[in-house]
Amino acid sequence: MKKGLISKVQRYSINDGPGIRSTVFLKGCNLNCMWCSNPELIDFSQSYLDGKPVGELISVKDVVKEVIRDIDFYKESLGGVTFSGGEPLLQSDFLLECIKLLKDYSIHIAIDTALYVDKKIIKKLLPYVDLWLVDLKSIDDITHIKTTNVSNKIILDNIKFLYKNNVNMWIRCILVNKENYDLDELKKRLNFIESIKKCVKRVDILGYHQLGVSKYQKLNKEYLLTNEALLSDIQEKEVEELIKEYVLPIYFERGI
Amino acid sequence: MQLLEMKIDNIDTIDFKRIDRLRKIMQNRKASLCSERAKIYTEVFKETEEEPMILRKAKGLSKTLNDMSIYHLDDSLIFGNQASRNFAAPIFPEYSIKWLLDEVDSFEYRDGDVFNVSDEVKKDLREIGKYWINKTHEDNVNNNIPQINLLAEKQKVLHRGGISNSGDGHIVSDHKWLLEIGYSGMVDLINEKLKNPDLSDNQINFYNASKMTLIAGLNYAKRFANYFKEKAKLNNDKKLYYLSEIANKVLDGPCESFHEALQAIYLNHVFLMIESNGHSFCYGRIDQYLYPYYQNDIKKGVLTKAKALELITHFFIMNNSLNKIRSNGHTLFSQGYPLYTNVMVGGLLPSGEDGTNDLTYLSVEAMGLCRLNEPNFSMRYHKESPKEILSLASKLIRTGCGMPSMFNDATCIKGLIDLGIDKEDAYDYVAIGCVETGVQGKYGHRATGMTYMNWGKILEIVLNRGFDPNTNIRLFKLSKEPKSYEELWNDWKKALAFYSELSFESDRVCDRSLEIYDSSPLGSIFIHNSLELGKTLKEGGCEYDVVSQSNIGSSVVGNSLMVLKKLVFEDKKYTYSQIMEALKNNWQDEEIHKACLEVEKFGNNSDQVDLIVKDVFDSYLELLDGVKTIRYNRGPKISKYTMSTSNITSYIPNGKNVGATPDGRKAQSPLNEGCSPTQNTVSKGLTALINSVSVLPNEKVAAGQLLNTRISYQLLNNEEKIDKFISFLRVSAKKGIYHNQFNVVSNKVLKDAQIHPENHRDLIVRVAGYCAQFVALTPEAQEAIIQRNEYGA
Ligand code: SF4
Repeated sequence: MKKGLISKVQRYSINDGPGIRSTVFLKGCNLNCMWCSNPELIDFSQSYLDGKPVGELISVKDVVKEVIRDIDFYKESLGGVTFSGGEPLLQSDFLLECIKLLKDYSIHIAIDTALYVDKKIIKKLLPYVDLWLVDLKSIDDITHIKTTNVSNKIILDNIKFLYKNNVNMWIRCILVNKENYDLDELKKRLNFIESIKKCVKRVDILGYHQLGVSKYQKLNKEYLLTNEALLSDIQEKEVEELIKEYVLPIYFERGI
Repeated sequence: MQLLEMKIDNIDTIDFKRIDRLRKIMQNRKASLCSERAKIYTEVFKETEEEPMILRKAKGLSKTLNDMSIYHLDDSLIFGNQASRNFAAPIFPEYSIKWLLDEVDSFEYRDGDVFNVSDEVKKDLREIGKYWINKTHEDNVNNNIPQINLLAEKQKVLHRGGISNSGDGHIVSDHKWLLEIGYSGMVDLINEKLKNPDLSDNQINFYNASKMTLIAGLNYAKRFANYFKEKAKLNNDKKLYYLSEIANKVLDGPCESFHEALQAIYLNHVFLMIESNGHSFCYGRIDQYLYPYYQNDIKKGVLTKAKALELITHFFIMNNSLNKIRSNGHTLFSQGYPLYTNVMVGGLLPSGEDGTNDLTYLSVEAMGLCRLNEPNFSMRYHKESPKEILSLASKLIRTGCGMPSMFNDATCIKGLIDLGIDKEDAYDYVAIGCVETGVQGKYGHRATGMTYMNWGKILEIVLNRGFDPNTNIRLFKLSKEPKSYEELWNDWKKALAFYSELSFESDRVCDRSLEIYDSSPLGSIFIHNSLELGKTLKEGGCEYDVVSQSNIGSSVVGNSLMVLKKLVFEDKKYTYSQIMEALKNNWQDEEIHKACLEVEKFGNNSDQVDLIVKDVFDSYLELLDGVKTIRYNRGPKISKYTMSTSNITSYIPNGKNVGATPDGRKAQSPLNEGCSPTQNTVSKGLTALINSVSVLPNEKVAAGQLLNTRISYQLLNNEEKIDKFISFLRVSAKKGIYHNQFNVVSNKVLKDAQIHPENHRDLIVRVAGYCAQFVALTPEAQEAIIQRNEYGA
């Protein structure tokens, strides 16, 4: 049986999809976002944070065993299990086995991904995933490259692919002042989302938050953002105004 | 001031400023002592030495109600005072006086629960103190407590708590009945009873005593009627004329309005708190028994929702004007001036239907406006409870005041039915005090909190083969080292059985004495079947006599046994003596400490340890079969022991007496609270916690299974998350969780309150089965709250 490199399983997870969920955090990511709040999950091997190891090889069986313990909570709240990371799609074989097993229990599955992967992987998973939580970090490729280290071409292409396959999507847009935030750019992002709106069940616009900062120090990683990354009041207002122009189900959460 | 959620017509007719002024008075209240009651009782007791105790107590109460000073907080729509000043505690010398005299100079220097005592009161106390030497309930208990129990107390296994030096409380009058007939109606019923020529002297005394106190209660209200009238005349004040009318009418015959009903139950409550210095005198299901009066007034057009909300808020706030003084030792067990005046709303009716009504919603909103530590606000819920009421409750929880505490009907009702309580009565259960459940109007005193048993200490004694390492006292023998987990487990059972036997005897000694000194004619009469049988509750006048002790440290014991099982007996990583050595030097050996900490702990949904904690519960439950109270066969339908983990702040002082334990806990640090996990040993989240607790025999802990959960505000900060939280509550109920209560205040705020208490007088936190003003707690209790596991998003 396959094993996955997992940092933790978070239960009573309420920010990663509908209802009460368990979120399985898979380690390893092929992006390197400036604002990443889980920098300890970027490496593809075990690392250390606060003297504790992050990342352990865990078998499909053990993951499934743990998450089905909360099945009653999922059923009552219309929740389920979310695979997040890092980039969960990079451990797709393991992921597929987990999901298939969970489907035997009719558990709702969400995948939280940046979609910077080969389409084949997505294809493989398509039939089993109920909800795709997709990050769209910038529509402007230069910004995307500058802030995440990769181009958004593949990502946008994959989103379109998902759209063609008529899946359910929640799209998340993070806004970081001075880095990826620009009202015009946001407009373009939202226009793009609107163009695929029949698949988009929800859009979350998230103001930058500083929750991950302390981890950088501990990991001896340079943190390039400052306080200025927070949106100003004026910017928050303009975002709120902009949102009103769309019929999409947009939720805006201010940063802290 | 803002409501939590409700949209109410004419909301601007509520005088919010007045509510705010009253709240401020209570927030800034200063506890003090009042000697009026003590002086009056001393006088009465001196004059009545030859008479039966029940008459002496009745005369004491009557004279107090007649002669004590009365005052009224101008802004309040509800009147009635317990002592001569706001938040002054009366003194009850017939229960105990020695500790009061010993400690009176130190009350103002306590770390928490400070009391100011004027020189005059000190003088009064010393004066009357002489009379009471060797004449109190406490003396009686001390004279009768067996030597071996005293040794167990010295070992700090047993603690007699409040019941050995104060009254019992823990009763809920049948308020519905009280409102239907009033005190005067009860006097008529008693007169009927007295016509029976076959009554025993005891019965005649009981009836006469009750009658006397009821009449004194009526007279007390009339005193207020005059007081208001005189004051009203001075400035032709309409409100005061109105209050005077209420005072004239209240308790005198059937209740006629919603306002009068609130006033009636408040006065009755105040009287019970002058009659006895027990605590946990409770109101029960106010949304049910007040509803007819509410509905009637609304129909008549004399009441609006807004007005009802304002009245309930005043009624809630006024409960913060009452007080009780406890000895230094007992204060540590229950910090924050708690009175545990429980109010319960929502839940199923005896008919099996949902009872949520307008008053349920208004009560939650009123608590949102009151947001003080009393009353102890609780809610019952079940699978058909409307989502709207659970949402409103969540919004009150979100304010951080720790209320309501959420009780799960299915489990609580089943627990009571299994004890032998009639189904309809079980459906009418209420919380009495913290989390102990019982039937309003039918339970006698003390659903919980008889003798306290420190399970952490028992474990330590087991590990030390019978010896308490602090005192070197050994009361029973154990063989040398256990060779297997089974042997260790049997040692635990043996020790628990040994100490439980002693504790039952402590209970009986206290109960026998309380039967005399806490013979409460007024407290008894509105509880069935005192009137019928002509005797007090303590003599067996109650329909149901279910008591429990309070057991502290179940998770510490279970986790510790798990560590020994795994590391010593299964993996053989360390020997028994290696672990004992590490405990003795309080974990100087870091490697062993780390290994012990790493063994799985209760609360993380890991089956093996969860089941051991369950075994620990079962090992006690098995001992309760057939244990009888002193009222067995003397009146109650059932007379039984059940279990409770409602152990207030006692997990802190109890922990202080216990050395390091194998679960990795350091010497002297707190034990676990209620059935909650130990501090800093959970990492799997809320659902894992619920799954763990659901393994325990919750419905058998029928006097209250306390689960205190600290969650971050982020779990409740929007409607969507509240929906998820409601699902969480519903699943918890399905899984048989007995009840759950929530703390939402962040450490940042708590720490700031430690540094700047003056800015945080409004900070109410969940302490245990009750809430308290954070700044009134001792530094240790504050720290223990800060240390609690917090569940985030
Ligand atoms: S995609 Fe997510 S996990 Fe990967 S670097 Fe970006 S923010 Fe971090």
